[in-house]
Amino acid sequence: MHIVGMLWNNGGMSEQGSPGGGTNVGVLDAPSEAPDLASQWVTIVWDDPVNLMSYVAYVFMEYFKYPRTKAETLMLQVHTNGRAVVSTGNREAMERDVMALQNYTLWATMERA
Amino acid sequence: MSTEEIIWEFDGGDGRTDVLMALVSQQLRVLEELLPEDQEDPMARLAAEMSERPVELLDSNPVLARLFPAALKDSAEADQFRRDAIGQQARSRLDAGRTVLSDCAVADDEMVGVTLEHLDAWITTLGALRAAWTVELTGSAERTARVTRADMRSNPTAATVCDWLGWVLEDALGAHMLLP
Repeated sequence: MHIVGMLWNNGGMSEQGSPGGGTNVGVLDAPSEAPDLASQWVTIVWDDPVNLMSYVAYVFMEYFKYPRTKAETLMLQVHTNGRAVVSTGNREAMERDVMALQNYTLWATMERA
Repeated sequence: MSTEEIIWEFDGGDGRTDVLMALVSQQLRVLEELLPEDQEDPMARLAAEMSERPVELLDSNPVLARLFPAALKDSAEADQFRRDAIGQQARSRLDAGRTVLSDCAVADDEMVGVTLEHLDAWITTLGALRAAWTVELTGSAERTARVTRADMRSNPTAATVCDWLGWVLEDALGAHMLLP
């Protein structure tokens, strides 16, 4: 992610992995029970060098209505790990989340849990 | 707090309001290409959603590709998602951009007051503009594309626009952070 006023960052950004790759995926509040894993999907937000860190946190607060601490934790996971799971649910719900996050110009994808 | 209360002001002095309106209008024109001419006609909207044209436009326009990235790993599923979502996403972006233009148009002086109700539209639009101008600067819609010094030297206008949009966006986000 991007620090305000700088078009390029010498040291603050992680190496981004490609979709499907990468390690150290941050997951917050993973459900303790997953009664039907086959129908469970996740929404992932990927790091990018354009979106401001404050902007990413704002989106998590505004769209998901996450409290600030949770939004900032997720944002830091995106920044540090290159990606973070930001929501889980059935496919239809994840499609809504991905569309909404893309409306905020975040790099969001969905995949099976 | 009332949603009609002014919680942030965009400093449009020295022609900055005109610049912002021009940037927003330019992006709206690009987005309008993704939608049918008659958006009120449900059959026209359905035909547009079933058409390949929006996806073809995404493939040919790096800015649009950046605003509507692939949502799934499988390319066929990703294209289907785009076809299903692009109309709704484009309309959402258009609504947000038109809110910004409307606020700028009614401003009495150089400072454009933004209400709580409209703040998200401004933030969304500023974020999209910044992403689009970064594509202009780097020449790439790839997620990991980074701006280089060579990019900035070769296109100082785009570099200036990107920087300025970043400052304005950060200012708007600061207003949101101050909300109780």
